[in-house]
Amino acid sequence: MFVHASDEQLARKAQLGDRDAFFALYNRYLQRVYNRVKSKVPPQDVEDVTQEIFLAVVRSLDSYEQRSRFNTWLYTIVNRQIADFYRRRGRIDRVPSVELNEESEDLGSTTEQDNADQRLFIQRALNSVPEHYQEIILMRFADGLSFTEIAGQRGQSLEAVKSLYRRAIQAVRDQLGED
Amino acid sequence: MSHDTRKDEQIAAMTDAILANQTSDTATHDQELGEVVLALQKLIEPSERPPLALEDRLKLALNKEWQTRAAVSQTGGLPKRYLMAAAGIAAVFVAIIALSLSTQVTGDTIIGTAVGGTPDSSLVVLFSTVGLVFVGALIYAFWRRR
Repeated sequence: MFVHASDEQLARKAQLGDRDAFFALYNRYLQRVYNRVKSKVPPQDVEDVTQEIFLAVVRSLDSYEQRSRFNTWLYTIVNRQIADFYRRRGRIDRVPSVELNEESEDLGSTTEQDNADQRLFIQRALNSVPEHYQEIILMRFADGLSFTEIAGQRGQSLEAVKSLYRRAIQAVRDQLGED
Repeated sequence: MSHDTRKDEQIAAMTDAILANQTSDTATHDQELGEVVLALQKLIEPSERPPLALEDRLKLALNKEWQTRAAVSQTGGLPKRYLMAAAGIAAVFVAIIALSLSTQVTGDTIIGTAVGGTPDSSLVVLFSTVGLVFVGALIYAFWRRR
């Protein structure tokens, strides 16, 4: 029904009370939001934070202005809700510190505990790099955009995007080295 | 192609391959960066759908929230920008009426009213002020509500 409608058109309809338009947007973004939350909060809290985000979207739908892209507005809410989550938990560190097994720092380890440790380890590193590095990584991994699509969205050349991406991965690697 | 550009291309190609679940030998590229890409993929698992239980719970919660929103809308909860636009238009109308009344009162041709006596220009000012204050109060009330 809304296959060809842009996000912004759907958001406008939703603002005017069209429930189906809202749920079309929800279906479009559930996976991406869920992936973004997975990258930033502990696994046991991912579902609750995802729910809080979508409830916040409904509550603040009227504040969305057509001048900006819908996904920019949505991801601002995602980041705000994640920040609120950590504020509520009263944590300074964005990811709970864990006693990492020495072996778990080797990203090639395979036991279940090691996998859990590695997730927290890489999550902490990702959350510690500058926002623009996090964003390009999330666009590729969480949103599933190709490098060409990312270049289109950011209004940059493909070469510039790939260069930024490599530097972002390098920054995560450097962060892992510091921990 | 510069050394950095070649590395950019390699890491991008390796990421594409890993995310497409194709085998990519990280050892042939920059191994450290390759491990980071693999670890990010394990962390985010982009192709993993949210659990069905979450989707069901979310839909229930969102339906409930949507009904609450709809109820608020029915009781006058129009989008903020429409309310602001309406208030703005009302303010302009009040200003125009006040201005035209003032002009009539101060003009030479109108010196009285049908019921006799000279209209008091202070009344015009008073009504205009009340109108503007009313519109201002409306704007403030809507702003507070939002």
